Amino acid sequence: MKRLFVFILALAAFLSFLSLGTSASEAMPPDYDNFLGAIPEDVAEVLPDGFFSNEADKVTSAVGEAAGVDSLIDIVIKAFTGGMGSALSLFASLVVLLALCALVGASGDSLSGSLSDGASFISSLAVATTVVGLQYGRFEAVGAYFANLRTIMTSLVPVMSVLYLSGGNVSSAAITNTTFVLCLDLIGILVTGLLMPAAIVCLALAMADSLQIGKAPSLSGVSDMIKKVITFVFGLASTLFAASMGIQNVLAASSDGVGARTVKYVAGNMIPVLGSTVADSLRTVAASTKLLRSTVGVAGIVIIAALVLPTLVSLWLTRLAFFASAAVGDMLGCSHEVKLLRQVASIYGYLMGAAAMTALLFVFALTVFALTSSAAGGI
Amino acid sequence: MEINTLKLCGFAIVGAAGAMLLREVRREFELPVRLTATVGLLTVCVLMAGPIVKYAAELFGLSPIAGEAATIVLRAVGIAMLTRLGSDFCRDMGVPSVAAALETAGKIEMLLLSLPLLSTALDTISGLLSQSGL
Repeated sequence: MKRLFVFILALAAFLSFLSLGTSASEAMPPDYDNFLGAIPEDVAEVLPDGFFSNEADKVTSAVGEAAGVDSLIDIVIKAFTGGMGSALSLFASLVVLLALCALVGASGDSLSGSLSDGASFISSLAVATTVVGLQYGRFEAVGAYFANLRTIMTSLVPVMSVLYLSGGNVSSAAITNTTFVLCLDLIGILVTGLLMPAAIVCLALAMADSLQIGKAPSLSGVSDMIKKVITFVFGLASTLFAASMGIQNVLAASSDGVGARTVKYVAGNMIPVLGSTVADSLRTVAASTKLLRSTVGVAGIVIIAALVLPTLVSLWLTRLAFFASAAVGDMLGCSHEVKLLRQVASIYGYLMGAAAMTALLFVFALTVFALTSSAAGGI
Repeated sequence: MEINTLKLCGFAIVGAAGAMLLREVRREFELPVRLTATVGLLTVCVLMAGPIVKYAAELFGLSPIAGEAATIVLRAVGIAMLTRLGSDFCRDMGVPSVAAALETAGKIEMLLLSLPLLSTALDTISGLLSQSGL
């Protein structure tokens, strides 16, 4: 809960900082429509109407409105009310099964050893089947979140390139394009090739672990190792990309700034009479491009927030339902089932971490994009 | 239906005492008396468990997924208890080999009962793996 709260606060701080002082009256870049088309319907529903306009001033005010803390809180409340029902139903189902397992355990004394083992195996299997059966929809939702995130960021890359180029940031445009495409590809590979399969393998190991009767070795060490590897790989990839994007952008912005100053100097001194007007015009163009860039950058962050917050809240509620059921199981003395429930809850923790890490990486990239100065105007 | 523990204890003690007396007087009547007492007590158990099963069914009705699994668990408990009862009876009659065979049959029946659950769980995991592209 604490981590989720800190994440929401950080996102709100980013958005309030970026949404300051934006107003314009021109058309949005041509590829902006593709970006709007990539927004999933459930996310589009929570956005103000002006978000889908083609006029920059309407979009800017809508983005400012959507980036407010109250809209973010609205999204979180909607996610809570939407996810609470399914989490409570999961909790109720698990508690019913745990009560039954406790009944089987209690009647074990009146059965002979092998018959009691058989009955407790079936009760553990019942809990495991229910837990595993409920993961279909939830894992599918996590996969859909990553797919949506990739689609949105892919549709945003051309818009970012155009806006970088129109502000005179040629090197930044090239770097953003290359780094972003690479980053999106890598995240795609990590999610489909590592995160989701590892989560399923951990689920299968947890199930096998809970079905062991007697003194068989525990499999929890293997799933712990898998989870540590996932966290390490995601953390490493995010840090590398964030660092590389930040450093490359700073260098590219400086190099673009030097180039633009040379152009302005040449225009101001070599073109008689009109030279200073050209330099002034460049500054005006740069200012409006910077404004558009802030608008698009913040719009991207708002979409990411609207996408990640419901996913995180839903995952957190599911995790809480598993932890609460495990606590009930502890009270009822169902040790095998409690082990399974705790391991499944920890899988959800890792999925939450991966979702938040990817979202923050893109928020960082969009912040860099929105705050990079326009080379043409030195703004 | 109101049955109290005192009546149950009385019935059990009378049944046991009757069987013990008949063992000394008319040995051939001992077994039918023991059988009658056991079946009588078992019938009372089933009648007493009725409201519990009804309540459990209401609870399982709230969650269809858990309900399906819970029904199997209840059946497994029933099989285990009946098998235990039958095998104890066989041991009392001095035929432990039949008791052991009955317990084996009970275990196999429980295993058969768990097969649909096991195959559902494995199908779900393989479905999840194929969904993730593996």
